[in-house]
Amino acid sequence: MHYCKKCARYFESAKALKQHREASSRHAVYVPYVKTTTSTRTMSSAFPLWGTEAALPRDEEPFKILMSSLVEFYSNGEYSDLVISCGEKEYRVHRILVCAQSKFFAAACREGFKEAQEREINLQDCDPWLVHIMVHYFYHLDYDVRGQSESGHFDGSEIERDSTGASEPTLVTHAKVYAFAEQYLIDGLKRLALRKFKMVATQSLDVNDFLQAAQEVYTSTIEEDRGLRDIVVETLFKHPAWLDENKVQYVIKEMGALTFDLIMYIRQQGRL
Amino acid sequence: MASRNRIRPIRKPIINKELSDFEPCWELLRGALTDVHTKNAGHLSFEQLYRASYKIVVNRKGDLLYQRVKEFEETWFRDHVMPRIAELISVNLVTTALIQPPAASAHERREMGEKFLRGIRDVWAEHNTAMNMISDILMYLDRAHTSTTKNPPTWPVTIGLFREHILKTSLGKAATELNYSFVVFDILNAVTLDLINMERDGDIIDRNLVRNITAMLEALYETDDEIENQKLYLTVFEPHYIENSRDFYRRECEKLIRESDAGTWLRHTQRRLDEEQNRCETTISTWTSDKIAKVVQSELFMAKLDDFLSMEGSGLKTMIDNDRVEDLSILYQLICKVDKNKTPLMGPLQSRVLELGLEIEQNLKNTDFSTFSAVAGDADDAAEGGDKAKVLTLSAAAQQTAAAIKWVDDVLQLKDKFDNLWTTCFDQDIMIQSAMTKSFSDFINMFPRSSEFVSLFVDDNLKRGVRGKTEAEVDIVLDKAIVLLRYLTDRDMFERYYQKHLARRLLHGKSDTQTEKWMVLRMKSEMGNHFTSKFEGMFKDMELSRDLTGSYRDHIRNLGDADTAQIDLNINVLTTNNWPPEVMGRSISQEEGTRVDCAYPATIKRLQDSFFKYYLKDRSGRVLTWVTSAGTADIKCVFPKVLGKETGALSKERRYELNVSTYGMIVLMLFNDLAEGESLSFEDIQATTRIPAGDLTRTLASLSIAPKARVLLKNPLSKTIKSSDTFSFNAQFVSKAIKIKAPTITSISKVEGDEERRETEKRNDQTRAHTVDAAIVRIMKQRKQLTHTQLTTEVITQLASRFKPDISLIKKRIEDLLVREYLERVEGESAYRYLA
Repeated sequence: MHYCKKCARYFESAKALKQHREASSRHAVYVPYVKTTTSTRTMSSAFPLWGTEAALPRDEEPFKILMSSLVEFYSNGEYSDLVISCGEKEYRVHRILVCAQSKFFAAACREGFKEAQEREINLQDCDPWLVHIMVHYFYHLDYDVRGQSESGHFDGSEIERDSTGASEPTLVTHAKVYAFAEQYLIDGLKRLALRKFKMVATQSLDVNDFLQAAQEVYTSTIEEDRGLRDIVVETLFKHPAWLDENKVQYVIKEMGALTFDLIMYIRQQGRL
Repeated sequence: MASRNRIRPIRKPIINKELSDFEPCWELLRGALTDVHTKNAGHLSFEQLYRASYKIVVNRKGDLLYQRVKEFEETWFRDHVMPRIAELISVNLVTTALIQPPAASAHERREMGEKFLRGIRDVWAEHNTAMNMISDILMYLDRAHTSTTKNPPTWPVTIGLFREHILKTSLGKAATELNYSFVVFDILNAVTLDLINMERDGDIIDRNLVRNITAMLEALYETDDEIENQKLYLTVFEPHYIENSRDFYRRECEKLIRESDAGTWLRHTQRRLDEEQNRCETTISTWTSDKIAKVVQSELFMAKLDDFLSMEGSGLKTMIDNDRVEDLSILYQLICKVDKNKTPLMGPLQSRVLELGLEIEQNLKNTDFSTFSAVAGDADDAAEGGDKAKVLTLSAAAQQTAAAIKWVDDVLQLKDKFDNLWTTCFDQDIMIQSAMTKSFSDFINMFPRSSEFVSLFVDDNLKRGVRGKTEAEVDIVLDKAIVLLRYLTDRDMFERYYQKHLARRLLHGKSDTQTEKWMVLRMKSEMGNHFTSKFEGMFKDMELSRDLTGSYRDHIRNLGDADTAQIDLNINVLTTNNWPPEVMGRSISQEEGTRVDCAYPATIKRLQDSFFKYYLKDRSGRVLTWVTSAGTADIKCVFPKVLGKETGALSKERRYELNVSTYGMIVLMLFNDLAEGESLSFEDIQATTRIPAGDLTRTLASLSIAPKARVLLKNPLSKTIKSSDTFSFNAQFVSKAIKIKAPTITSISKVEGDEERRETEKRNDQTRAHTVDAAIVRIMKQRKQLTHTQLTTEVITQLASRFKPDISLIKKRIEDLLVREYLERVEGESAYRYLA
């Protein structure tokens, strides 16, 4: 996987990534700022490599066992030591698992603030559907935009979905998950959302969905976050016929940043 | 959201709204920051605060937030933190810590210093906690904003305030009052180091406090960029600490050299090293472990190492001499840490070995063995020379033997001593072993008689192995002898002596053949086949001779010749090359020009002829020479009843079995034909028997002087044999034992006299000359052409296992070979060519 963390972009080869990074000093390798309360700070050996003993192929089985038992603990809420609440819903989760995947939750659970004392984190202003996706991701390392109804331990039978029952436009959801993951510093989920978004954008595409998603992308994250923006621009570039449609014209007219990105992209492609 | 399929109106960015968005958010955050600082954050929702700061950043107001936070923190720090520190810094503290050398007592200083440090620590701890919480709140700001701008993240900026506004400034009024410029950091260093020095002097300090302070310095950096090797601990504190420690240990070392001895110093150094290690782990920082160890090693250990080692009464010499195992172990351990080559230890160690070795030689010269032997009589084989009572005055030769044994014993003891030190103190260090081996080899080879003495030592032990010592004991001693052998460079000399000694042991049956063979086997594995070939030949001769004797005896029995059957012949046929020339009697023939066979009595002559005939039956063409000087004879003597004695031993006829040398037998046979009361003069005897004068003197001495076997009466009665003496049969001879061994007063003394020695060396040099010749020819035959130096080196390497040839000898041999046209000079070069 050749991925530039800073721009949240994927590259086809290591060489391409390298070129990308060298292109501008801004593209220096993104190193998240980490601080600890103790005096020693070593980042180097945070993760031992899985495949250091090259001769031994990795055994997937323990990984599966671990994952399935995580799902089990999620279902029955055993050993739970933290509540994530959103609106009416309460998710009984495990701090170690949540904090390991999100720096936001790690900081929230640190001594000092209300959340740490009450062992509850209230995401009151968030979309309950996104919170559900996040918690699901914590335990499954995956999510599904088409409503899943696993027998969770949380209150309420089902997350309130669209009253019409129509399926959620997928591209928009991925864009929202992406922004959500960015806000709550869940890098794994962010990557996953990016991959899902890219897949949908290159396969089945609905213009309306795309336009909505484009708006979401250009408003929900900071400008420096290139991940989804690049895909939106590319997709638009690949479908020039869309520009003939009024609604598309309307959107592009309104969104200066998208227009700018598009022009720069065309320039890059040598067409301008 | 009625329908998700419909395009929603675009959220228009409204500038005003954003600004108004920012202010409420900032208000919220500002309140939170204050609460955090006042430790009142328990009611704050992290999620809310985080979201507020996230919102600001997403709305591209990160810069503003960053500035506001910075301002807020700076103000807060100035108003609430700095005054607390300023309070701590009193004029008194600054004076004590920085300006004057401490006038206050250690106790006062400690109180004052700890109070100051405690204040710093508390303020730091609060600041640190608050900054941690605040940077958690501003996490998204750091992630998205500061990583794209050049501004450092909030954490180092805010934590850096501590460095900028406390450590690197002079707070309070002390500076102006004292008119002395300083920064707080100076006080901090001075106080901390003072505390540590107090601990070094034996006080008890608050280690935890000091550790907190150093941890603080580890968390702070020179700049807000937080470059890993720019931690204040490393850039400011550690250099001070090292410098201070250097001074401390330099002074301590000087004090030690004035006031104590090397043993104390070693232990002290060891203790200090442990202490510093411990201090780094508990009080300072493990980063400094190696550096401080180096300081102690160089200042306390290396600085005066030579002075301490040469200290009279406790230095290395004393440690070695008195086996101060612990001191030496510590010394070794310390030196290993400092110097991989261990030169400071190796040099003195080597010279001490050499000194002690030469001391042994010196002692030998100063010891008077004539009295020494009286005490350690049993250590002296000269006991054979007479009764124990007579040992008091030993012959010069016997004294020499004792000296030889003593020398080897002493060398072995020295070797034991150093081996012991090597295992217990020096961790069986290979380098030290080889250095010691070299020194041993050096002094042993500096002693000119080492080869002879080692051989004598083996001789003595093999002989004594037969009587008294257990096999295991002998084994150990012989093992050691082999070790000594390894040190000898002139192995050909040793070979010569060993051959001589072995010959005597074999011929006189004085040692256990099993042990002998085992010893030779050991030498073989140690020095190679060629070294022991002669010895093995000697063993073979002995075995063949035993068979020969047996078969000859059978042969005689079958003949049924009654006349010769009375004499039981036990013969050793020796191959000339395998046996030393002394034994073969060649030396005598060389000296006297012609070889004179002594006149054997007729019966003996017949026996000789008979054996010779038998011997030639299977081995025609061989020549047998009788070596009279090496043989012995058992004679049955009958002493008739002495007339006029009715009681006592003399009243009866007495039969004794007398064991004498072959010469002794010849002499005694003369008295068989003599009438009672008649006597023979020395000249008569010599004329009849043609025994060489020297041998005859000794033979007669053994038969007429030693009381144990005085079967001849000498006239006049004196202790020496003169050519004018006359001898007669001692009819009154009485002995308690039936079997009597006439003491052999042999010319083959254990140790060579100076003259014999010169002789041996001369002979050895001749052999060496041949060996060198052979080596040169062998090398040249193979290489065809070589330069002079190449040839010399090759010869030396080839012969290294046998002896160390003189360069001048090699040169002489080359010249000789040139004359004999084995070699020729190559024109214009200093090289030689082989001539086939």
